[in-house]
Amino acid sequence: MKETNIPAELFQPAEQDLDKLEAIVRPSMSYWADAWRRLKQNRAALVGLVIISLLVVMAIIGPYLNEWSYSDQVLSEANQPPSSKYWFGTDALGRDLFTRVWHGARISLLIGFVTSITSITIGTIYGSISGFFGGKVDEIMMRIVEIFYGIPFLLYVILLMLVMEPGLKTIIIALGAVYWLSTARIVRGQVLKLKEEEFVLAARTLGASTSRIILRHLIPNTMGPIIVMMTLTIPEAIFSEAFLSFLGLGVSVPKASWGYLANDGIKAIRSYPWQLFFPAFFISLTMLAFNLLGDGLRDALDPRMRK
Amino acid sequence: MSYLLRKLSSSLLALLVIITITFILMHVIPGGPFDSEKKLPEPILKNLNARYHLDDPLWVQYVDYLKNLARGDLGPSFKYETRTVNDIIREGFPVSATLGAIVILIALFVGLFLGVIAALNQNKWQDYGAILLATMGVSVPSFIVAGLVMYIFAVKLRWFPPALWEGPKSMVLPVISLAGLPTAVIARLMRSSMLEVLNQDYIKTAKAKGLATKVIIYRHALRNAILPVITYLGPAIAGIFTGSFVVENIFAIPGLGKWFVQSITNRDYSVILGVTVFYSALLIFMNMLVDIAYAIVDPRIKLSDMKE
Amino acid sequence: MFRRGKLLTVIALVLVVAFALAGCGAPQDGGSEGDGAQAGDEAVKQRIVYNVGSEPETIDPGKATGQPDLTVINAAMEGLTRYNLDGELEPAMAEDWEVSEDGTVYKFYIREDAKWSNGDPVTAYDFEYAWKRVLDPEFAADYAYELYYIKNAAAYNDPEDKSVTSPDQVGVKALDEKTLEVTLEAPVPQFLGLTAFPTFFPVHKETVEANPDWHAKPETYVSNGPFKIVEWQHDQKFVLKKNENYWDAESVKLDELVMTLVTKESTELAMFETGEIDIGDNPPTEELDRLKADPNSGLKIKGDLAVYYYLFNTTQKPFDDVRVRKALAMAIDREAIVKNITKAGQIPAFAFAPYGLPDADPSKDFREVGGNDYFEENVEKARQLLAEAGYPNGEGFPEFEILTNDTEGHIKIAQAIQEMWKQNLGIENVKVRSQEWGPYLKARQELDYQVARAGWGADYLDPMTFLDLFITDGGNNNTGWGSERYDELIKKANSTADREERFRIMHEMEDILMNDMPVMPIYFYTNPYLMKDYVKNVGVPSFGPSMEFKWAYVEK
Repeated sequence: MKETNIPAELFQPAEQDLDKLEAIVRPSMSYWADAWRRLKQNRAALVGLVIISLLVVMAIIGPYLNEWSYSDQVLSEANQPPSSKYWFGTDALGRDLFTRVWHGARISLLIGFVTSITSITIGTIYGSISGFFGGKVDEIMMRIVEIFYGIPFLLYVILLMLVMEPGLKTIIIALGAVYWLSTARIVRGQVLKLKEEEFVLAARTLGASTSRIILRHLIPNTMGPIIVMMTLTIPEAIFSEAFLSFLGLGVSVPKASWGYLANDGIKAIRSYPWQLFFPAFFISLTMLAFNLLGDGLRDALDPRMRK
Repeated sequence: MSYLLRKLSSSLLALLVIITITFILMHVIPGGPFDSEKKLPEPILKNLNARYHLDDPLWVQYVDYLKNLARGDLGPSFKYETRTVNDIIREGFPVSATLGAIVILIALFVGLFLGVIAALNQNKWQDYGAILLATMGVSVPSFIVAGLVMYIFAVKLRWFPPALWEGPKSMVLPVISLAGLPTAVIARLMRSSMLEVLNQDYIKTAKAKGLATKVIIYRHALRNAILPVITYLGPAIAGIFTGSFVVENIFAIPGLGKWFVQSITNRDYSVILGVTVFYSALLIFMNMLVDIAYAIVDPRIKLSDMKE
Repeated sequence: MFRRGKLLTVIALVLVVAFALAGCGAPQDGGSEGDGAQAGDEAVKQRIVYNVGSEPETIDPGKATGQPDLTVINAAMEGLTRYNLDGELEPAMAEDWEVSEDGTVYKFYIREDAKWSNGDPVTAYDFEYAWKRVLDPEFAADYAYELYYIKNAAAYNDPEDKSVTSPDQVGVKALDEKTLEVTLEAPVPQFLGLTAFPTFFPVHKETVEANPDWHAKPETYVSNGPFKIVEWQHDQKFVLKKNENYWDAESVKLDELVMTLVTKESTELAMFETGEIDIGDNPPTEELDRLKADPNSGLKIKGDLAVYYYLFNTTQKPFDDVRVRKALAMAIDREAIVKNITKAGQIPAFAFAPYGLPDADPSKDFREVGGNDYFEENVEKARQLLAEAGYPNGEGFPEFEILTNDTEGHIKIAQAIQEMWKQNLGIENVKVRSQEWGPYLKARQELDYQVARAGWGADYLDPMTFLDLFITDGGNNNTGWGSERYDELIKKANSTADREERFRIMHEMEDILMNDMPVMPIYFYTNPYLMKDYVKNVGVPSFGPSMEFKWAYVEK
């Protein structure tokens, strides 16, 4: 065996740079920056995001792309199939469906977004407080949720709609008043489970305040289910509005949401299929996009999935 | 047992509040059960109101209702004069519940399967396929699905009858129209929570111990991942079992679902209250089952913790 | 640690509960119905399936008001008279009758062979009992007012009117088993026709006295008509079989009549096209063009005794000005509405009472005699009128709403009219407010609207059923309009026994109404329905029941 000769003088203490010692190799990233980085890697989610952006853009400019407004009627040209004159055809009153579909997009998307964001926010805060504190607080808070929950959804919404003046605002209020309940329950369930996990115990031991534990630890950790809820609440809100339109409780004519248009179209499915196809297609596309995005967000926002 | 007793008594209180809210709301909305396009002469309206005690002060009607309810009597329908609300529920609920049970079963099997497959193959084609399939379930409103399947399978292909409740064949189209949504929800919930569970330390520990993947999935992951699904299942069953207005309306199914809308349109006060009470009671019951199920499945949660 | 068992327990628990709840809900296999198409060399099955629509609210003839209710009852029961397939009144339970000189006393002779489905004879006492039952305030029948022509009936029915409290004072009396005497308040020519209406049907006295809920189940439903009810599945169907005890059983060729209870129009059409039903009377408007284009579609269209119109709230500016009302009425294109929206061959209306009502000379039509031309569509003139009223080119016209109930068809028409007023008159601020039934009616009745949609169908075969709506402050007037002269004329028409005079008065009434125009007629309804060609002799009445099956049969 060959002896390697290393002179002892070669061994010198390394220079101790206190600054460098404390540095972290990986650049520090905020929670959201990290989420965005990972979202970008998820191709399906990006597709969803692009579709949603396109739909929103079309909702804004679509109604102005041809000479008709959403309410202009040419009765003699009712029920025309798609053509170079009417890109999506016309409806039973001879109104241009292209304009109506994009005008409907505004209403449906608005209902979807506003209802979903308000209800999820309320539900999340409510649910995490309830789940975290447990005991008496939880008991009372969940009792209230349960009471609201116990009223059949549809009956409740219809009653609310009838009590208030029909219209867009009422729809959003009525739907929002119902949807936050399920979020609250799910978040509470998650928090109940999470709060017994070690990292919460650790945070508490380190003296973290309650609000900090809820906001920094519990809510981010329940983001997965919340996002899933959110992606399901948007279509649900859009659907529920469609159903209300079907009962005559939707937005007031001649305005029309996608649900209203689709409901109009399904009746004419055999004679004028395009009247169903376009609104139904865009509803489905929207749902698909939200779901793809939702899944991507879910992976991106879950702190335990950080690599 | 004391949990159940406590739960029961507080549920009664909840029911009372629900009845009160509904009672107030339904009397706030304009109109009454005897509105018709051809307006009835005053004396006839008076006779009708007297017959159904609608001329009593509201609080008397309220107290009377509660008294009758305590005896299990939900009162007569104001619109369908020989039918009582008890009859309506007794006849409609089994129909809706049968349909609902089939729907839930299918949704559970298909949804769990898709969710697990997707989670185990995260970001592979199985994942995308399963999620795409599940997404289609939430992408199309049920009235469109119902209209389409009726057109395709009943009118064009003549495989199934278009409507009425006459034997297993007539259940197929309504089940298809209803199953999409819960299947999708279950698949997505399952995928989401399964992914979460698979990342937990005890799964890693199990892997490190060299346990077979199958064992890990079935013994450890599934059981914990199913919690959100169970949470969802409670209210979902209550909702689906009490019927869907759209599907019952389109396929002419004599279920309970249509009453939740029709009773309001008719201002059939006793039916509005009756279906509300029934639904609420069912929901409370299902949620109690969920709590119990939670305690059984998740050892970290004990029933005694659930002070509600 | 291994708790797989528990997981399974939970799932099992959920499912067990699920199925326990579902319980007995599995449908009985109704496969026996089959298609009835495999008949082949067998004789054609004399069975018709008709979709009558929604579930009847009641099948007690005294209480029935809805069309499905009336249709089921009309098949199972019979009054003193019955309308035949040509729309003529025929003797039914009564084989003959006499009317006094002044037209106020009727004597009906019940036929000897008139029997109930349980074999008992139908007597005059059954009629007397039935009619008094309807008038009993405690019975609280909606259509009790149909009987108000009978002496003291209105006073007896009104609990606050203490002048008559005993049923004995009401002008209906069984003189013996087979003779019924009816005394009216005034000579009302439409009275005879009313006796064919279910509110005037008899009930089996013993059954009804013994069991107030006799009409809740087919088993206890004693009837006297061409069919008897053998099955009633709520929200599904009625099954009726030929009533062998019916006096005219010979004329009844159908063995079985099924009435399904499907409300959704597109579903009804699907059932018709797949052969599940033979008749349906609500073809969806969206499909009418397609059905009309196909000669084998089974679509048929018949005139109807009903008018579709808009109400003006004449107590509100600017609708208190007759020029405004006329301008609005003249500025819409009715032809475009019936051609493009309603599509079932409805007739543009320029008068109030529809076609199909006999005039003084019964061979002539009230509408044709009066003319369907009280006003014309003329945009120029309309603009001129509007300018005279102070709104040239619609400038300064206050914002207003068209109120309609929330049925899609009504909303479409309202939108079309909204657009026409905008384009033709320059009135920009029109909104359409669709409301659910209850609030809509309430707004109408409390005059809490500006312009509102309305419709009216005949209760009996006489123009008065349309014209007396507009009596000052009448419950169905809903316009705030009133005219002393008009009220006087109603009274006069209802008290004269002279037919010529009566019709002269009614024409004058319509003149007044159309001259003041508190309402704007839009179109006269038609009745589109679907019927297979092998179905024969089904009557399609213009009022009361929707279909008449007594003489129906199948010929394949």
